[in-house]
Amino acid sequence: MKLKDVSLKILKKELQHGEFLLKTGPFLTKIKSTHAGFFDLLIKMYAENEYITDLNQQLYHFSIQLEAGKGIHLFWNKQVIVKTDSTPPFTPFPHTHAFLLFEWCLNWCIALQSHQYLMLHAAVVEKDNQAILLPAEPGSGKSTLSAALMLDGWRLLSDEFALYDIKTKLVSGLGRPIPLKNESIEIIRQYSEQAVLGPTFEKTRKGDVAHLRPTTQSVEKMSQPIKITTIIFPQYHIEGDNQLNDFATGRAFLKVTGNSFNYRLQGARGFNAVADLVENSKIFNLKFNDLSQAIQNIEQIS
Amino acid sequence: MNNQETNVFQVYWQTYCFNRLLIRHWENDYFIFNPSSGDTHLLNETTMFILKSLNKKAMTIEQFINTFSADEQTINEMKQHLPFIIQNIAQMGLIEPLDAE
Repeated sequence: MKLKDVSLKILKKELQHGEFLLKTGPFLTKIKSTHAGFFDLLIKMYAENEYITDLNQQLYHFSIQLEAGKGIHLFWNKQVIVKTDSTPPFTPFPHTHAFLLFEWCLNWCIALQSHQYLMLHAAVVEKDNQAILLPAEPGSGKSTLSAALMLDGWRLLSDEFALYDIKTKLVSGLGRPIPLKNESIEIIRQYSEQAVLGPTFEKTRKGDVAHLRPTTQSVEKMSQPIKITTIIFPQYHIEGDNQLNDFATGRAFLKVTGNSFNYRLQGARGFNAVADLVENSKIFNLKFNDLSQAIQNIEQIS
Repeated sequence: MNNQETNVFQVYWQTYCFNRLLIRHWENDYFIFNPSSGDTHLLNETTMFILKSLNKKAMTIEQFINTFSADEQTINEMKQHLPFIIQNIAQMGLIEPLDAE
């Protein structure tokens, strides 16, 4: 059953009792929350995602609990606290930022525990069986570019984690919202009327953040892993031309391993996995200051 | 040459677990995974040639230089740079000194 089909009343009850599992790609996350502001946004941002409420003998990957702040923070400067199976990874947030805290906590859980995959810090999009890996440092424009591609009809597997299965050499989709930051929020809002955006969380440590809901296609196909055919290193820059150029395989190996969450942990199999990936992919560097032009460049090589 | 420089050129060097290394080569770069350390290294053509030479046969820097028919200037440049390169490769765990005896 999808989140959009559940009533708010039932969802609140399930979440308050912690009898709720959200499916995001290969992961099931148990969520418990008594935080009122969280329910509406969870339904909005994960509308197309499936959930499970019958937890009987159901295994799940992560457990996340959102609670109100303690003591004085119940009434003044209200806070929300997050807990997982281990030590709480984040300090309390303003209570209005509960959804943001949930998203960052889920990222943390995936990054720390999903070592069955080689995890690359990269976006992955796909169209007509052409899957593009977009590895990039923060500030490169990766999330904005992958958001625009998704709104233009590409399937978004993820804007943050490329979950690379070393045995099958396929990447899995996650079906999660894209966190847009600062100027990107308005850029994407203007880019497409189809963009479904959540509220803007202000004054976070990354500036202003708003989430873009994944498209129906992106969520419905998240159980269909795919092989990477192309690697593009995006680089947003205010001035200069839009350029898509060939990129050397050796340099690509360096950048992909440098953008991995757990390359070193994977050892020899990680080395061979990345080497095979760059050897068997078309590789480019994309400098862009215009989203439409960047997408045009990408479409031409796909 | 003083005694310290003499020692540097007369230490025998050999590769360490060369057959276990994973090596990939693109353009002019060699990427090496060392299972013993879990480290990944990037070597250029020259350094890789030195490593492969030492794998064939343990040598001193002096013996390595003598394998080349080169002019005096080239030999002097090699004497200047090779100790540094050998030290780097040794720090990567890819070569180790062999007792001269």
